[in-house]
Amino acid sequence: MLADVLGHSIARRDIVARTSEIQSRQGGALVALRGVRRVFGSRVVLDDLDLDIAPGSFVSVVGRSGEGKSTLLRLLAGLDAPDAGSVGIDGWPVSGLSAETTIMFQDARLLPWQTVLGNVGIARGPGWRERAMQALDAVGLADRAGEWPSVLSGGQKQRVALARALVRHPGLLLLDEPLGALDALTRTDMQRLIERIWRRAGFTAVLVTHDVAEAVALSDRILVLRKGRVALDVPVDLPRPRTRASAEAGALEETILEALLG
Amino acid sequence: MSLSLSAPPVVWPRPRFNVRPLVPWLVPVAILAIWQIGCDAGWISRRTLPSPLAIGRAAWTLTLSGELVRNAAISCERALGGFVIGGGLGLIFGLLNGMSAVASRLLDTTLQMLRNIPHLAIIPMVILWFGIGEPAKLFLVAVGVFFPIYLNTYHGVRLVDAGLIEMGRVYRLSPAAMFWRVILPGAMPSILLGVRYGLGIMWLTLIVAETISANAGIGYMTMNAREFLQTDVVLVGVLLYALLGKLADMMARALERICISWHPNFSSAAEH
Repeated sequence: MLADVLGHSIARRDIVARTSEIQSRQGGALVALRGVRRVFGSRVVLDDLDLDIAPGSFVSVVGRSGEGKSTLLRLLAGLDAPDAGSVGIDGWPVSGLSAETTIMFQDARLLPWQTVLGNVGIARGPGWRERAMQALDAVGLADRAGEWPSVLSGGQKQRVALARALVRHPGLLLLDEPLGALDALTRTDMQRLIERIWRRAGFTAVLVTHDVAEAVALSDRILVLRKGRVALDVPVDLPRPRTRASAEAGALEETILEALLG
Repeated sequence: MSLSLSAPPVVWPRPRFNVRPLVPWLVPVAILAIWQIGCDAGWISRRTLPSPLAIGRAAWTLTLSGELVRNAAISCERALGGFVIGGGLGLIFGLLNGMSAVASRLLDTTLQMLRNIPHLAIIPMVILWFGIGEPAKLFLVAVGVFFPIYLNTYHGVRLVDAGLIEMGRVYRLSPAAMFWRVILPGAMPSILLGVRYGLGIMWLTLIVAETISANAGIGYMTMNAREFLQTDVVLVGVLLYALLGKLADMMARALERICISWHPNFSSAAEH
């Protein structure tokens, strides 16, 4: 009994220590796009796009399918290069994949042949087990470290993917509809987790989503992409943590939907 | 009411043996019994088919004289030698062509053309090239084993989830880490399938090669026995091939269990 209580308090202290570890990187990355153009065949997906994203802010990009949201994210990640213009992060042009930028995909993309811990610490390096364990703690899955990904639920898999992203202390976290495949309840849960971790760690976050309510719940700023251009750019000044279905949020959602459909 | 509820439950005596696992063996045992009785009663000629007991006696005599073990060892050596050479090359070319578009364009068509030649059809050429010594058998087994392992490795590597490879790039895995942590484990189920096919072809090829020309090995033993009408020895050889084939298959299954323990089909506690 005593050992239980002691063990518990030690675990609590560890969690506090580990979450402070996650914040170690100071501030998020500054993103600057100038005249970015991306063409696939004869289709112009991004057309002369200028965009600045403030360090540490949470920006959502909404738009219909095929309006260039994911293309924008892939350019920021360095998985793709623009046909014209420049993409800069912290004043440096993006050329290829950077250690400071991490992307979370719609599917968790966990290696089924690695344990949860092995997946979180995929890049290995000295002390990777400890760092991976801290990140798993931060997403509340420390007790599943030794299991295979196949036994986890969809939401848990995405939390592992989030932990894997956190291990690198990213300056820029790109989220490519990571919650799109989850059920409504798990989705809300994940949104809160992402918000909490973002507020603690202070990285810049860019979220691509179909879900206007999700964008309003999480972002400092919402961009609507249409025909390769920014059709709407609105700040979201609602206090955090946000209550859903407030009048202001509702009005904002209405405005964004108008821009999307219009 | 409460009295009847609190009455001790009736315990039926449980049967001492669980007979259910024995049921599948009823038919084989019955066949063996009829076979033995048929031989003893003279319905079946000893030249056509020796009795199960006679086969057992022959196996025992061959074991005592050391002939059985010596020939089985020689056959196993040939089988495994050919398997390691052919399987190793198949694995190397499969990985190379799976990962390199240049290598695949250069080599895959050639290999696909060669695959269509039944490897047993080249036995006359092999005898001309190598005679009837050990290299001929190693060569035939290696050629037979090469293709299933090459094909399954190649397809296994090609079918590794592109999303996982992209993830590996995002996390900036080194080429070595990408190979060992993403590509090889991803291709492993397919590679092991190739290994199991390869093991089947390995024994088949060896049986044919040893039967046609050999001066030692299980095939030699059976062909020799045929000359002297020792049908019991011939059947010992046949059963020995079956036993070794079964053994190889069990080894392949064990390998699967070890290498792809992460797979939901082999669900077990993860141990890193």
